[in-house]
Amino acid sequence: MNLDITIFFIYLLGMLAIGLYFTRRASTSVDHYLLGNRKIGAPVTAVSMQSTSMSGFMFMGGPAQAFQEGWHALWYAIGDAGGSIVNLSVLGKRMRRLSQLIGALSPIEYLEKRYESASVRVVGSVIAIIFLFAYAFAQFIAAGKALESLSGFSYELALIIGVGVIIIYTVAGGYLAVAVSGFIQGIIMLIGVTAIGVMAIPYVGGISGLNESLRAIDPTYLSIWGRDLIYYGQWGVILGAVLIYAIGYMGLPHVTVRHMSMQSPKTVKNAIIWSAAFNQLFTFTPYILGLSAIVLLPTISDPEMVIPELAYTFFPGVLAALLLSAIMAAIMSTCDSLLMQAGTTLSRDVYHRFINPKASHKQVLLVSRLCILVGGIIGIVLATYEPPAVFTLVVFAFGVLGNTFLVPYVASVYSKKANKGGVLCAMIGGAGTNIVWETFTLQNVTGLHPFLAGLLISIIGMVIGNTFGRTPSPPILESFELAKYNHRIPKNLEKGISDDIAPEAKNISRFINSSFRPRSRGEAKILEE
Amino acid sequence: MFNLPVETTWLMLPWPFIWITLALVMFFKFRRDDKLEEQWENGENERG
Amino acid sequence: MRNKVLAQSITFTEEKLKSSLKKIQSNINFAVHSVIYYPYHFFHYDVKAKRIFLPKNEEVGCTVEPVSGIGSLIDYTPKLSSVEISIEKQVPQTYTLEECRTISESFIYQSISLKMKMLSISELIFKYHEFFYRPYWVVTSNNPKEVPDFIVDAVTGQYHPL
Repeated sequence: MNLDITIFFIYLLGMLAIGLYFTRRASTSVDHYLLGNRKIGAPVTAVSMQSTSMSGFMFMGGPAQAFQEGWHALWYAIGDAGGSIVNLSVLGKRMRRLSQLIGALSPIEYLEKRYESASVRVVGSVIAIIFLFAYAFAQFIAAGKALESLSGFSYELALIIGVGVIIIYTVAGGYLAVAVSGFIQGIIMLIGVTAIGVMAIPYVGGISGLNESLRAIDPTYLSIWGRDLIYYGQWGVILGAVLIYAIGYMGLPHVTVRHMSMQSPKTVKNAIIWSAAFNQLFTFTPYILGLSAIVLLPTISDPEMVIPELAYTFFPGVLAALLLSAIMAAIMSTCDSLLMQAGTTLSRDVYHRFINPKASHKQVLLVSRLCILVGGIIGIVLATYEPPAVFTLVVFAFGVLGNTFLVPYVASVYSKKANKGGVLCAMIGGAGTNIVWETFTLQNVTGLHPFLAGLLISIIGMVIGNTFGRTPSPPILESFELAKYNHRIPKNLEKGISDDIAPEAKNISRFINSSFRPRSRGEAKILEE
Repeated sequence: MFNLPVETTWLMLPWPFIWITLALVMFFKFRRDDKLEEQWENGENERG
Repeated sequence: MRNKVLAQSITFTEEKLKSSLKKIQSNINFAVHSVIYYPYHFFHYDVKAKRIFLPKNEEVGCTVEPVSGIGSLIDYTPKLSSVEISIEKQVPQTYTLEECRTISESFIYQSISLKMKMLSISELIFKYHEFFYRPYWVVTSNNPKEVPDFIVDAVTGQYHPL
């Protein structure tokens, strides 16, 4: 066993130890309930969230894209950097409130309940499972490559070991998911990538020098229209590239679990801002490094290896290995969330809901584990025989997921009339369009990015489909109104509204109106028990 | 700037600044919300 | 009619509520109308997890409100005391204890798989159950067009419009 792979395992053990220490410490406090604790500082939560979600795409796909397309690839980075901020300002509150009101536990269950249709759940689940796996496969490939450069094993062997580690890790319970280890990992990656940047960018003469050299090689590298100006004048391609990450995230929501505080709560509202800031620091550097590689490593055989290559070029082996370990660990935790989400969707939203409603919890768990296992095996096979580029696969999977769910989620809280008919058309139309566009490379003919095409068809599908479906039932309409009322309320009050007690408010309001009429407002009396 | 063509400079470089501004705006908005919430929780019993 | 039930005590007191209201929105007069008691089932389970190194036994608690059957995670064991409350102020239940228990189990399983990412949870052992009421202030404003009535959780001070 060589030194680098040893470092990787020591790194994993170290993270495990940190995770264990903090979990144990948390569970020894008196009166502590599993899952109940929300008191982690905002920056820690944010960095850990971000570092576990950015993954292989960031370090393998992004640089490779920049290496091949030049500055045009930065459009994706621009969208990505703004994604969490845009997401935050559009959906957040209303959807959280509505999902509390209708008591949904998973994003897909939310759609089923909001649109009152089991077929919505079936279609949503199937698309979600397939493309969450596709997304995970991209991470598998990245993991294989990271491990390949760490260990010196062949790609196939590295892939099998990497995916094996990921699957064991997922099934054993995501130890690294502990916020503190995510935080440390995030910091290591940030320092690592910045350090490579600090070494590599002055080496090519700063951004200006880099561009000068790029111009000498091929001036179209500097164009926003892609190398050789292949997308020249195609705003549809550029808009799609920016939008896919800027708004695509809204298609992948996470329903939050309801909390009831027994003592005064302290929530972590600023987490998302921290993560947005962290994202700014992080997003652009890998792409710029990809550009530098055009100058520094023109003969690199696999452009996805730009960051590992640069790391080994500029740093002693030990430090490079440490950085790669952090990248590998980040890929592991991204993968673990994706696999878990796919697994639970299959087991709860499909198996338990439709195939075997009487299944015990053990059976449900077994199904999700099997799902992950089978997915892992298929993933290894695909990734060995015909590994697609990480970037292409991520953009494809992410795009289809966004096209499927973005319009239904946004409409669920912004359009009262949105119903089953519309949502089915939007999901199938959006996903179908993206797949067809990608398969027949219609982007070249039409000048429209697959994501943009899917988005347009999805919106049209929603509008047309709505005329066929039934209007939502009164209870749903009532919840819809409740979830959006914020316009009637003075700003100061509105901000502090606690979504967690939305169901109570709804029921108490119904109770008051039916049982006893409140006394007239002027003479309201305080009755205390 | 940075030896980039004019088009690329103007269409791409402003974005990080736009995002940072937006994030800052949201940050201060949220910070104000948190303060409001604290005021609410502490009521008159607020120390200091 | 009054009956004796377990309830959480009011810690977000009326004075506190009034001064908070004033601070936040001084131009509107609010009237603290009354207290409504909202029912909850509290379930306490032991989780027996198959985990290496980590504590094998953990406790998990949740409440299910029997009015619309929605579960929620909790952070601490609620402190309860026995009080007499008039029945008119208790929100009536629509779900039975048994139904709530089923809801609580799937709620916990789902939350664990969502948040802990543990696929290896083996068993959930029911420890005990308690039925209690939680007080909510009902607050009305003198300007209902602009400011709707709302409820304020009398334990934590969280609020939500009606």
